[in-house]
Amino acid sequence: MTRFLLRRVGLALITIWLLSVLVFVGTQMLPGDVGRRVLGPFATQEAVDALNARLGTDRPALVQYADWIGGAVTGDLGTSISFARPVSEMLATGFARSAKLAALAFVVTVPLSLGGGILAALRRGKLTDRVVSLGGLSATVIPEFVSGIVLILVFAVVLGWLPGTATAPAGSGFWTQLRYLILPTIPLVLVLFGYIARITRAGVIDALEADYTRTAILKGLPRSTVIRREVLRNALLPTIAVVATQVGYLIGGLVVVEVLFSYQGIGQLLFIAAQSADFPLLAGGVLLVGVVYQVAALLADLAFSALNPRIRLGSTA
Amino acid sequence: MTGPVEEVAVRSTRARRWAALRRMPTFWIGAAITLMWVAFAVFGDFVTPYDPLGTPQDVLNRLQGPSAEHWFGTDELGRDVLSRVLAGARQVLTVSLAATVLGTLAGTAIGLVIGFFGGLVDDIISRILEAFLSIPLVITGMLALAALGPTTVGVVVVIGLVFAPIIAKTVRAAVLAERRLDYVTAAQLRRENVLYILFVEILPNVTGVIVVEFTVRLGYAIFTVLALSFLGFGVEPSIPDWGLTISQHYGYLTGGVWWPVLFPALAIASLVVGVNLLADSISQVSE
Amino acid sequence: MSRAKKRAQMERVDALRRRSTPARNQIIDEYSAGKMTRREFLRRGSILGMSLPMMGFLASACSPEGAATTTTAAAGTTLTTAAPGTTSPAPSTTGAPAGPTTVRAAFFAPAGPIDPVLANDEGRLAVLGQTAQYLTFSDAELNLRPVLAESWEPNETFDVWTFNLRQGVLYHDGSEVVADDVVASIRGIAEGNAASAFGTFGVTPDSVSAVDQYTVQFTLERPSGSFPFFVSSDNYNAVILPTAFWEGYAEGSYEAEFPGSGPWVMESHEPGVSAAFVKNENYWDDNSGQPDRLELLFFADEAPAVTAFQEGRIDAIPHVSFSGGQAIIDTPDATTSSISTAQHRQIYFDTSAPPFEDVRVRQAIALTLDRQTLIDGLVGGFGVIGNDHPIWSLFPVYNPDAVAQREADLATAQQLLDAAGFGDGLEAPLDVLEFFEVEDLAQLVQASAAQLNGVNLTVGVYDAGTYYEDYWLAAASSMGIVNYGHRGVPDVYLGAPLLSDGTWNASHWVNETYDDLFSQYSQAPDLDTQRSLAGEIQTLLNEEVPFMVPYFVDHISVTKPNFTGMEVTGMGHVNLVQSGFSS
Repeated sequence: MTRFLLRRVGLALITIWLLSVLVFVGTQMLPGDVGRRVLGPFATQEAVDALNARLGTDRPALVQYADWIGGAVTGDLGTSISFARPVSEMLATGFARSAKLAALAFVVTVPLSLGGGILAALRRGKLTDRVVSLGGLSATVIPEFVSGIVLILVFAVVLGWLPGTATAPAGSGFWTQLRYLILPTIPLVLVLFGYIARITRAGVIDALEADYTRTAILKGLPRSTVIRREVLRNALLPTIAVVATQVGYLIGGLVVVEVLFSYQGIGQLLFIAAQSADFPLLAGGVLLVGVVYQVAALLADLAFSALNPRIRLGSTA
Repeated sequence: MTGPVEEVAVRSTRARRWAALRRMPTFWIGAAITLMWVAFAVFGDFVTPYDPLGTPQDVLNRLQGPSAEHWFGTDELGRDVLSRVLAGARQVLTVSLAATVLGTLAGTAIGLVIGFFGGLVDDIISRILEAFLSIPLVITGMLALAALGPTTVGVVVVIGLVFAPIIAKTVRAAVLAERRLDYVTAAQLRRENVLYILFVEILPNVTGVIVVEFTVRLGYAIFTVLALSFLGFGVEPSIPDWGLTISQHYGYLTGGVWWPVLFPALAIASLVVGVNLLADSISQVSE
Repeated sequence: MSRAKKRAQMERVDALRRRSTPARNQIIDEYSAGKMTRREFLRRGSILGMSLPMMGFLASACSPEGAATTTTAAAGTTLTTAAPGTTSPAPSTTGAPAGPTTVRAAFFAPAGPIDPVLANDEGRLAVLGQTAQYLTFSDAELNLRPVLAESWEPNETFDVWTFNLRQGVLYHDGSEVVADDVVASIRGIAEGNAASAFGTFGVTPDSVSAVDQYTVQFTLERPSGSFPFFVSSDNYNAVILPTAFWEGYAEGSYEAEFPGSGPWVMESHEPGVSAAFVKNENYWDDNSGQPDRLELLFFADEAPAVTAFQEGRIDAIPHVSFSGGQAIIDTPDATTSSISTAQHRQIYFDTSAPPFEDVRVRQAIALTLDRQTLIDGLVGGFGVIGNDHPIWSLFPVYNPDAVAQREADLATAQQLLDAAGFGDGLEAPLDVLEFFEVEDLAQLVQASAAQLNGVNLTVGVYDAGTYYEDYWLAAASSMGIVNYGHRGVPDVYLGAPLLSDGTWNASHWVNETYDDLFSQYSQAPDLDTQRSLAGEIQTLLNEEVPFMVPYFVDHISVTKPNFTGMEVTGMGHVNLVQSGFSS
């Protein structure tokens, strides 16, 4: 187990390091002169040069990279150009907000899509299956901003039941905050639902057709017991891995949803950073997203291997 | 060179798949929706009731609700929404198709090479791929477009480049299975050129995988292109584009102006569902 | 009026005039001779530092018989509903407030850290104006109101201006506002942002000095009759802050404490999201009616601000565009106010390279615009039509006889284009700032120009950072649109954007005749001369078209119907000291 763990963590670290190089190269390619961007078009060239020297943006790329990655390890990601605040501090606040939204989306989606997937598999080929499968596929492929717009139109504008923005007034209690997050959560749930339900359905169908299931039925166990004991345990394994990989898609969806619902989480910060070429914020944000994804994938692999000892022997790369 | 027996086998597999496909209602629904939008993209100029770009005087007629003259109403500059929705099919399909073709071509070439040679190249590509995939495509797109400048060509290149390794991975797996087969060994014994073996011998036998991958990727491309244009990356403002039209007008929703938002949204929903039904049917048949 | 009383009045006028500077006497003469309206007299008197009671007295005592009151009578505002006037609006005293009152307003998201040196956008200047203050405040009616400076006056040649500070004004930390702070502030801003508006105002780090603890003197490089505007809230960077702040200044350091002498004291601040303030209990002016707390919510987009307003989460949106605020403007759920302003979108041509090097091409494009349609369509009629120069028709110096209104004329435009050798068309980028209706305006300019044979403009829309850095003054930009905020006098519009060596000359326009005209204009002592020179400037610019000014935009605000007393200016300053709720 320890060897597997070390290997898995090592791979994740290599991936994150590669990602940091990609992000750094990408953001270094941003056009322009950081000092000029901060001080604006009216500042003198001396002032711009002085600031560049102070920010260190006039040094060779390799030195800058070493400095950046060194800082990143200790939690210092530099200072945002457009907000003049520490990037790590901003990302921490944004991350907490996004996490709320993402957690709500997962809490709603996981039982819903597992239930839907199992139901569809058990009623394979029947109407329920068709509805879950086709509905799930459609829900997954429709972009979040399209479903979000329709939800705002129906529930905020026409019916007036729910707020059309996501940021609750400062100092609001838990329930008020939750109310503001209902509409933004739904587009995320829709996109996740179809995918997870589909994988669950496939897993359950495989398990139903597997030898151990037939054996159990032949032994005369009742169907419901077989499903509970054998089918679900085996079918849900692959699903766990899938749920974790969805963290990545979820963050992508957060960008659009947070912009649409005016919610300053990590997604909107990334959007603002990309729009205004805020290099430190953009680089830090993308790196954070990558780390979150890798951690989620790592946890999924560990959970998967804990539940299924056979996997440890094979390669998971 | 594939022998006559194998040729027949390939043909019969294709025939069987086609027969299975023909029996699937989802395939026909998906094909019909997709073809409809393709037709609008190609022949849009002949069917739009008004010039999608409008005239400067149109602005006096801005944000009018649906009526007999303007079935889908008018937008914030008084242009006909129906005409812009129909014309918008061209923008999204051209960009997504170009990106997917680029990704598929590059990915296939890479996949063939690493699948055939394997080893270190394979490991390195897999790591880079993994790093790329840690970042959602929309964010990669924003990052790259912020760096390269937001242009339509930029959107095509970014999506194509991200797709390439994903497609390469699939193609690689298929090639790994093929390279152990007799016809490849035979070609190697005949001392055929490596490129010849890759592109003439192996490629025709992995096209099924590539077609499936292509249709699936096309769905993702459309999704991403529209998300990026909704976020305001990569489209000139006067071009009729569904994502952009929604972002230009969703601020008016609270004032009860729903038509310039809802109709492009429905267009997007129908196109993505159509393309994905098609892709889904094809991949199911291939399995 | 009895003869004796009249004589007494005249004696007092004489006494006042003997004590007055030549500059002040000049405007009193102009006013008596009927060359100036009463309103204009009050306005110019305020520039020269005359006190309101004194001017009020002189205005009635010297009132000319049948003085022309029509030509510039509108030199102030048009209002759809009650809006603040020259004096502070009356506090809302209706109904004793139960418990502490909190006012919640939606502001534009600041484009960067709140910082007196870096601020160059409405979001930042509006926040800055809550905690920090200027020497003088340029209000919506083009008057200057004394703030930290109690009075001011020029020397005879208008190149030395002396400001007397109000005594006993305290910063939030309890220290007093003194002349050294003014010197430190002006130097800090001018050094940190040397080529900025500050430079074009003729204010340099060395031009300011402290005469004594409460007196500050500015020595100008070139004379200016409008100087007090240049250190007023119109020059939004020019806030007066403690010397200690400037000694430790770094980009963004203002956000640590939000120092200042303003009516609001910082309570909390989350950049890009919100800020909260409490009433300054030690404010120098009477602020008994001031609400206890102020909450500002920042919005990057207008749509969520409008939604929040509709949901009752905010009481006021001090500035909203016509298109963005359409859902609430002129509805029963909101009180809509508008003030005419000199704010305009400048559509410039790069005159240094083809195709716009040729004046005929520029004229041709200008002749494709149907300006009234732009006003009605883009800003819902909330605007004033423009010709192709930045002298707003409500500025006192505007010369109504100089140029006829330019109308759309496609036939002439095509002829001009043919003559210039572009009969087959031309292609050019139109790079614009993402700002209010500018993206829509760009598309209409594009569509208007496309009515000419083969003219194809490609619109690019960029956020402020990218636009100002990569496009605005860059040679790569053939055509572009930039915004110019409101100013109380047109000097800023006529200097940096148009002078051959001007720092904001996006048109790269070089014209010695103009440079000469501008220099005469800015030194002209009296309104008559200014107006006649302004007429020449209008004619020259309209003919040369270095840029187009299709319209001047009104400033629209919305408030809850029971919310009163908010004062806004065309520049974007927001004063909520006297605001409150009526029952």
